[in-house]
Amino acid sequence: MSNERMNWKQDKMNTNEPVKQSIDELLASEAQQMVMRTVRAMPEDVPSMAWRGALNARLAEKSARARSRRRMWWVVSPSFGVVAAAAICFAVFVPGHRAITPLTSDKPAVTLEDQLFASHSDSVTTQDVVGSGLSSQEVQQTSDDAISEDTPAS
Amino acid sequence: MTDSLTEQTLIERCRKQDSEAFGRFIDLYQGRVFGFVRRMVADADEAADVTQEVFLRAYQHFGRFDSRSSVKTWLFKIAHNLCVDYSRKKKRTPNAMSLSAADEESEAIDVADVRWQPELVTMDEELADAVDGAIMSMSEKLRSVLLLHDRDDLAYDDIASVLAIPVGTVKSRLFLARAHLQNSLAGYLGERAQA
Repeated sequence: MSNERMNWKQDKMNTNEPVKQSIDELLASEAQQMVMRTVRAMPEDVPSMAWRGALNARLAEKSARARSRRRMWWVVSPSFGVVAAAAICFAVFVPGHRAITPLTSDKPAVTLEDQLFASHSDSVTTQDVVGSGLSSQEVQQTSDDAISEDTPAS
Repeated sequence: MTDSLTEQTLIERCRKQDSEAFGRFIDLYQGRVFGFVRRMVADADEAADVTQEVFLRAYQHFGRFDSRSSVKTWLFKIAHNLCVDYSRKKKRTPNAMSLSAADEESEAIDVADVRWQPELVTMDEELADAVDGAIMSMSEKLRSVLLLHDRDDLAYDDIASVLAIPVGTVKSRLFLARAHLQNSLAGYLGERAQA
């Protein structure tokens, strides 16, 4: 199978070769070479001085514009750098800084410890007054009953 | 060797946007590029503008020239692309001509370059006009190959690179272009052959 394929390729190459050669041969023929010599012998086109002057003016303009753009970039690029650095500083440091800043307000500061202490003392006081197993309403009712029992009937 | 070194130095200086070096570069190639563009763009004034644009582009983008091809090939690639762009634009826009254009044309004073040497012209004007006419009557595809090979002396590979076509296509187009020119100039070339 592979031999057949190789033979086919070889045949194809053999048949293509004369075509390639014939194009080169045709291009090298006397008639074609004569046309080539005729084209080559044509007088050279030289643009006018006015054309060259206009081109020089346009080139000078482009050059000046490019130079000013480059100079502008030299001025602007460090500013871009500073702005970028400032933005990075702001993004990185400012939120952290805000977190560690002590809160300043007109009201006195109530710390967590104070709140815990207040809550604890409230519960202790309630326990002392109420005792375990009674709600504050029952306490109130019980104390009212005791008062009415203690007072002699008139 | 010395020439190639000089050209290499010139290219290096042009890359650094050296105006003086670029002026010398224009001196070297303006005739060839203008000749190519003038035959690709029918209108002479437009051809002059397109040629200026070629050199302006080359000046701006010289930094991108990577020396993989010759500077001549690179320059002709720019020229060819601009000519194609011009043709496309012209096809899109309808013909418009100002009323004063004809007057301006007759009044325009164009001083010829003093470096032009008439004694170097080897072909008589009549034949040159006939050749020009025959070249202009070709299709753009055939014309570009003929000019790049026979007039500007670019190799087949370079033309293939400029036009982005295979080398085989370059050869076949060249053959057809020359055959067309041969038919158009049969009278002139027959006389020459007899002489």
